[in-house]
Amino acid sequence: MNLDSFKFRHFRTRILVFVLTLLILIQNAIFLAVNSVNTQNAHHQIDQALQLTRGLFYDALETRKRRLQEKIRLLSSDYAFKKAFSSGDIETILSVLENHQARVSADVMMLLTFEEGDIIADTSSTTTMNKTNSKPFYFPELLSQAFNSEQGEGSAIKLFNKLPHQFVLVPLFTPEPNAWIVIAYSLKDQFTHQIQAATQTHVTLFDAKNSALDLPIFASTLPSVKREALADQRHMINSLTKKDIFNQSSTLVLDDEPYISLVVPIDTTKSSSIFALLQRPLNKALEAYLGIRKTFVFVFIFALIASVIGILFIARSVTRPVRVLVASAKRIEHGDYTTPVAIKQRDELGRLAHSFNKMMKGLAERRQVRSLLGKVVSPAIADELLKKDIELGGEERKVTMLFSDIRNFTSLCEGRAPKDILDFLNTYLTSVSDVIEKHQGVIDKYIGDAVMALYGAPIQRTDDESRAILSAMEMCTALDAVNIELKKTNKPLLAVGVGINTDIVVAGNMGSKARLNYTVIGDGVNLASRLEGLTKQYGVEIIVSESTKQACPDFIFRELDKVRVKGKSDPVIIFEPISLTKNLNIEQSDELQRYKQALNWYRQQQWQEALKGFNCLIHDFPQIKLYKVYQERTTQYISNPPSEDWDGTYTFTTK
Amino acid sequence: MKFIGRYKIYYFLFLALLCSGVEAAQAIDFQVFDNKGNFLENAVVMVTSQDGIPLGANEIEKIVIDQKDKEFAPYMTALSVGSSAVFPNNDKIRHQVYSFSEAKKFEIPLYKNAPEQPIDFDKTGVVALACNIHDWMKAYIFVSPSSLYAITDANGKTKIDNLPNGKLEVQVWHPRLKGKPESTTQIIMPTDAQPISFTIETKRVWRPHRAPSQAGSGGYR
Ligand SMILES: [Cu+2]
Repeated sequence: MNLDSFKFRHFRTRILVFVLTLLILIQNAIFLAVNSVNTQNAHHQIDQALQLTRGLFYDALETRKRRLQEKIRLLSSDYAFKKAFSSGDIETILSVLENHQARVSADVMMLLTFEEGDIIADTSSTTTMNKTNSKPFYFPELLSQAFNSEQGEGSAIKLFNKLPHQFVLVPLFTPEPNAWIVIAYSLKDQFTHQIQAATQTHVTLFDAKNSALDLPIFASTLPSVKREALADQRHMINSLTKKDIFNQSSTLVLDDEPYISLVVPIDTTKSSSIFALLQRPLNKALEAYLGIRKTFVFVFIFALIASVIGILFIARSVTRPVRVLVASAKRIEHGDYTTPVAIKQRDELGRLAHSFNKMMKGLAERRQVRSLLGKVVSPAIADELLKKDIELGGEERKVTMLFSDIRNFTSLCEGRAPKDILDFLNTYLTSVSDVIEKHQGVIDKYIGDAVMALYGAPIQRTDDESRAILSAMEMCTALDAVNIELKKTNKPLLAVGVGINTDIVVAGNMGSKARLNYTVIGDGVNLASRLEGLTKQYGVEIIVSESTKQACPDFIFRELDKVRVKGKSDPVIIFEPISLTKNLNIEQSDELQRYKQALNWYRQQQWQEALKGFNCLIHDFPQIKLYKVYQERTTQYISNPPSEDWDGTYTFTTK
Repeated sequence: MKFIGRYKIYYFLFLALLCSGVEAAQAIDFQVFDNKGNFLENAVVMVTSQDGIPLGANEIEKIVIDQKDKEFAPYMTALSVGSSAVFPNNDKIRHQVYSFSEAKKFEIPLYKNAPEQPIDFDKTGVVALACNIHDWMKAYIFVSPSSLYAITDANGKTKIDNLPNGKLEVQVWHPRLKGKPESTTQIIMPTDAQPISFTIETKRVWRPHRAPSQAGSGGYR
């Protein structure tokens, strides 16, 4: 099963589907339960009503029987009838019977002989009886019932002339019982309607034995359509009459309308094939409930609509702020920290929006701090500081350190307003910083007009040394604009001195926990600073150490000297970077060659040759101070030669 | 007409072996039981000769059957044929006595006190008396061909005196008698002073209820 197909892209759809499904499920469950209870209840009520009706039905039959008995007892004790009977005149007797039949609205009356039960007179027969054509009574069992009864009376419901008749038979006392008087009433629609009027139940009388195709119905309160529908269900109804227990109701559908039906034998001794079908329409019992059901459907539809509207509203109250928040987050992504989220809700989303705004403010502040940090420290250090938790301590690494300084800066300051000096310094430092950053150097600190920069910390690159040298070369032109101005006023020109050294140092955060710097410390740092100081001595702008020089094979260097600087016992060879190898021209190459020769003579203490070489160089390049320095030293060594173990090292006694 | 006025009379043949004295008069005790062994009161025991010829002097009687508290009294009367009866009314209300029996059909329309004319019973048989306006009032008159008859008391006992010697036929009749005469016929050899018992099958009798008495004395009978 693919679960993805059940995922909804919208929160609204999800909550809608969930709540509506739940609502429909619950409503259905309630509906089914209520429906079931009501239908059961209706069935139960109808069942009870039918049981009651059955009692009333039998009561009605019993009452009729008693009334029949009373009616016929009147005749049996009628003196005139006794007289007529004793006269033996059959026609008179028949006439009396007919008269009485009309009087009590009976359907049939008969007179039977007492012993044999033969018919003497019969109002339903067209032939007059006499001794020769007398025939036995139709229902001998009624006679024996009377014979064996307490009162000498019998009664039964019998099919007579194709109709159910309620028969009552009593003896005629003259004063001894000498004959039987029989009276019968047919059970027709009038009877069933009478019971219906009392019980609100449909009553149908039918014959279960008749094998006709349609159910023979004697009387019924059902409308003719239903009656026909009933007649068609002969087999079904006949099967109900075969049940042993008659107090179980069944449902019969007549013309699409369900009726709860109870079959009761008209004769409780079940000796008769005549049955009564007691029926009540189920829908009538459900009427009240059906009304409620309509209301229920309305309520359901209303609840559904209300739910949909409510859900859409709630979903909107969730999704809209979320969308606003998403838009705001997007804005922040693009660097807009100025537009706060405007959500006025007081719920969780409102609180979220509030937090969001606070967070945005925090982010804006952090960004400000970061940009400020980038100004205070180098961006690379700022990155390094922000990347992880700031802790004191460092690590040993190979770093190329660059120190720069403005020579003759103090003379520049003379007679100038401090503000002008600051403006100048800021301009200078900005251009110097730009150069350093352009070459991916990291400014460690500014010390007045001096700048300390790092290459290889915090980020190490393979060409740190080259970049340091390139930076230094470019920095030398930073003062060109100032120098043009100074030249006009005949003031000494400004020059930059740069010292570069590469060494293993400790790089890291130093200071106190509250206030610290990312910097490097070690001997190498001092040497770089010393090298910067030496530039003045040799009249060069850049001095690099041997370690730096060795890492830059692309550059042409000139060896300046072998010196012993203060604080260091071992001599160091210092170099001046001339240019990239590829940029070196022939004149430069020639000059460097001549200088190298002169330096060699100097080192080998061939003073005269060396002096001659330096003089020649001074002649050709009078502006280069380095030659003059060596001319001076050589002249000194001629008059005052160094010791035997001199290795060419020059020791500076001052800083 | 065969279906009118039917009374069942059961004949019990009694053969008495008489002693030597020709004119010696005898008395025999009778007792009648129903088939459940109960004493049968108001049974009529009548003696004729073996051939059914009436015996004894035909005593013409004048019988009185009272109507008291809406009942006939006595309930059972036996009389010799040719006798007559009067039906004095002792109640404050009227009665209408009638009979549709074959032995005597008569009707005394509503009357008070004593009717002027006695009713003659000149035909043997049972006369069932009734009152037209009180369904429960009933009485029987057994019109006997012989003057040798008696009616049993509450113990079903009775006694007939002055019986002649020779074979005698005894008839027993009761309103509740049932069954055919042949089935109950038996020959008995009686000895002197020995009572003779009869057991007869009785039938159910349907009686109309007595109406509640206005005087409050009767209730239901
Ligand atoms: Cu009377």
